[in-house]
Amino acid sequence: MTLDYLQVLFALLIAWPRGYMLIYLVDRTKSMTFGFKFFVGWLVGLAGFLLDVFAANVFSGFALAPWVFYISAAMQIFGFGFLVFVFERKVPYPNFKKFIPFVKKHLESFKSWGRWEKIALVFLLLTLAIRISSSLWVITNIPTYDFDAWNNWNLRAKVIYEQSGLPLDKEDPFYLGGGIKSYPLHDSILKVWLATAVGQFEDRFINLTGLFYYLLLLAIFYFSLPQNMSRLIRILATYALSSLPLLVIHSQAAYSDILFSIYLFVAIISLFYFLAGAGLSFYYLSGLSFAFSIWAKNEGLVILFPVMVFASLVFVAMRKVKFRDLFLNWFFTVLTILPWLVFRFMYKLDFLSGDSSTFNFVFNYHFLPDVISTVFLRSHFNILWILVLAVAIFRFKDIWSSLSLRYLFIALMALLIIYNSIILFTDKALDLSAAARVNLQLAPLAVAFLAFSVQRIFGRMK
Amino acid sequence: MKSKIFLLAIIFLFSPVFVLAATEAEIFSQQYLQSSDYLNSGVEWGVYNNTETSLYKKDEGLLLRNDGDAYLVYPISFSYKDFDKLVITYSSDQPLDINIIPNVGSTAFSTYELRKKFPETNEVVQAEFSLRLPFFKSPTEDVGINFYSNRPSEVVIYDIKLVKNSPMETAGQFFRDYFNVSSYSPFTVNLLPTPRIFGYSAMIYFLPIVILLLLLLFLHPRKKIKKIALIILISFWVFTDLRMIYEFLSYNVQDYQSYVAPAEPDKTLRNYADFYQFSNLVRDNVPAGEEVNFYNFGSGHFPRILQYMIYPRIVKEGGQTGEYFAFYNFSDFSFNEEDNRIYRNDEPLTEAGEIIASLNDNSFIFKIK
Repeated sequence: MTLDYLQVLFALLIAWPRGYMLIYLVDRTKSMTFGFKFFVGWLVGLAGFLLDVFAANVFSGFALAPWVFYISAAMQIFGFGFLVFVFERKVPYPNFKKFIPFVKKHLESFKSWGRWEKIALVFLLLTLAIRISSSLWVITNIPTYDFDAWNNWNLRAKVIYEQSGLPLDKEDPFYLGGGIKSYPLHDSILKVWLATAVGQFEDRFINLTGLFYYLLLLAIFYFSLPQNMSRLIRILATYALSSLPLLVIHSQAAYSDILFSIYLFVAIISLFYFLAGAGLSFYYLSGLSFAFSIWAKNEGLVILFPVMVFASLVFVAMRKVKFRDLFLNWFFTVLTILPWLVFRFMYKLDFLSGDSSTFNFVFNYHFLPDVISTVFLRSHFNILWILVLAVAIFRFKDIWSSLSLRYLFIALMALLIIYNSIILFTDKALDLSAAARVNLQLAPLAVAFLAFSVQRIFGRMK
Repeated sequence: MKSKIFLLAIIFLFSPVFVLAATEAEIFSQQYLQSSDYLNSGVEWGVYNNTETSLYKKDEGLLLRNDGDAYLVYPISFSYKDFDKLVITYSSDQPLDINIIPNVGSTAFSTYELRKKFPETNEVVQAEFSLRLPFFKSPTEDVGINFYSNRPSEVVIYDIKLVKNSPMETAGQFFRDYFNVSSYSPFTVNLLPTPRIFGYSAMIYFLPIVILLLLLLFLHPRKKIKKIALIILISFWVFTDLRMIYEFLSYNVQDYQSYVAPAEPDKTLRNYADFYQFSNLVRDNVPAGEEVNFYNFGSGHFPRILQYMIYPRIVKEGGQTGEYFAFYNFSDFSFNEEDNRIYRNDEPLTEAGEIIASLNDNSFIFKIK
């Protein structure tokens, strides 16, 4: 039993080296901290690893046998390592001798923390331990229960696992995995890989993805906040994010909303750092994360794509980015996600959950009170969106006076409006079942916005 | 000054307004059903969705022989201005889910506040339901009480009362509602219903305080006041968080009690009763790759859940091809021992075969020979 869970851990870790190597390669301006690179590397490593496996299966006909996964995990370590060597004339081998001093240094620094910082950290860890235990208990004891899990994400994973590949025969009742065929396969193929690693398709193993996404999000979020931000604000912001009730529920649900929210967060926050002068590496990381968001959920194409195009146009107009970098960034973005885009085109996949061939604008006025209630009044997000609204109203000048914060605010509001407009103003919103979940995808960004605003507004308030 | 405020608070709390006693009206008991008030009222209690529609005297109460999903319905008109609590005194030989359904004959909407689970006990139990909910804002047409049990149960109802709370009790209900947890349902992953107070999101009641704190935080000139406002806001966040942690842990407890701890035949999962046990039964008795003709009564989700649970077996909803048939909770189908066929009411559905596994009389797997 314990061995099975260790195999799951191994299966998740196997993509980390290639991911770290990729981030190391992207970070040409040496702008990113080790913690940030460590966890974002894990994220993009997994995405790339699974996308390669998918491409090997659908374009080259390789069955999803363990060796295909191992080769995919290992091959790009050398590929990205070679490119790093071309740039730096050295290969970033892990130096294990540095590990213990690194840990010691951080433990030592803990002693110098302020009293409130220590209390906040203990509280964060304590509440996190309760949340993780609760979710872990559900995952290991309760079979797949939530609608989209047994109807789509897990069903497709099970079909692909049992057939050792994606069914491409139109006569197959589970053509393209069954369920909603347009759903990207990042999450499902990760579940196939976990089942392959353990040797059996069981809910208690494959549903661990929800908890993994939750913890990865928190780690990336914490390490994405800059060192010059008050440590107390960083800890409180991470606590705030970890405690969002709907996010906690999704840590035990086998859905992809948290996964997508990580890509969305990294894509938008990286542009924020780029504008704040943290270096061009963040600009390229933004494109990479945006590319993988398309591999995670259709919202990547429908929601994030227009925002990224608009941001690019504004950056060019403001001369914040050279044309060469703009071109290269979009080139690498398209190159990264090309296998999935080609597949989408070949198999004529819809852009939305259902039929997206028709798209009418209507005013679903009867949804308006419920959308407002979902975002502001129910417990889904605690008082997060009320605080965001209050900061935006009372400290608009402060936000507007900072270019990077202004960008973050506009991006957040644009995403919020686009998301909720689909529910309020199109005939694609059949009910309100997605209203809270789509706003959940923006929650990490909203907490980050709040943290930067609080730092800027109250930073001097001692 | 402080002592005066304290004194005023004490006087206010113990003023007649707050200590007014609760009033109540009995609407169901042996005595009440024989009283002239009831007999002359022109309306009467009815038993629905049950084989036996009569009630029998037993001890001091009335016995309901419950098939498992019986409804007691009473055409009574009242709003929460008249009564804001319903109390049922009963005993049962099976665990029960009791659900109060206002206007059961028309809209029949209900929420988690009106649904409660009670463990198996032959002791006399009092089940209390607050009616201070939007459903009861306008006078009702009727009220239904659903007694749900996984197996047939004998429920002895001693009395049912409608109670008008005192203001103090209503204030207490405010806090009870805040900490009242719901059950994990298929909607939970999309919408969290709790915490609610009197049927509305609790935030509605706290919003004025939150807005006041935000105004102090952003507009007050004194840093000390700003800091206090910030600390209270953070405390409010933490308090809401702790409330929701309590909610999530209660989901764990409910799952443990209904699904993890019980023996295999007694396991039920949330609102899908024993369907997951049935799915396991199908998976264990039908070879991989076979088609399963599936017939069910209940949730429209069942065919798709079954498909996920038993893949690589293929589910044919309402199909008639292939050797295997699975029937879940569907009393229309029965096995005829004379010709070994399955009949739907009086019409034969299958060729001759045998029942290869069963969960209960209405949930079984049949294989054509």
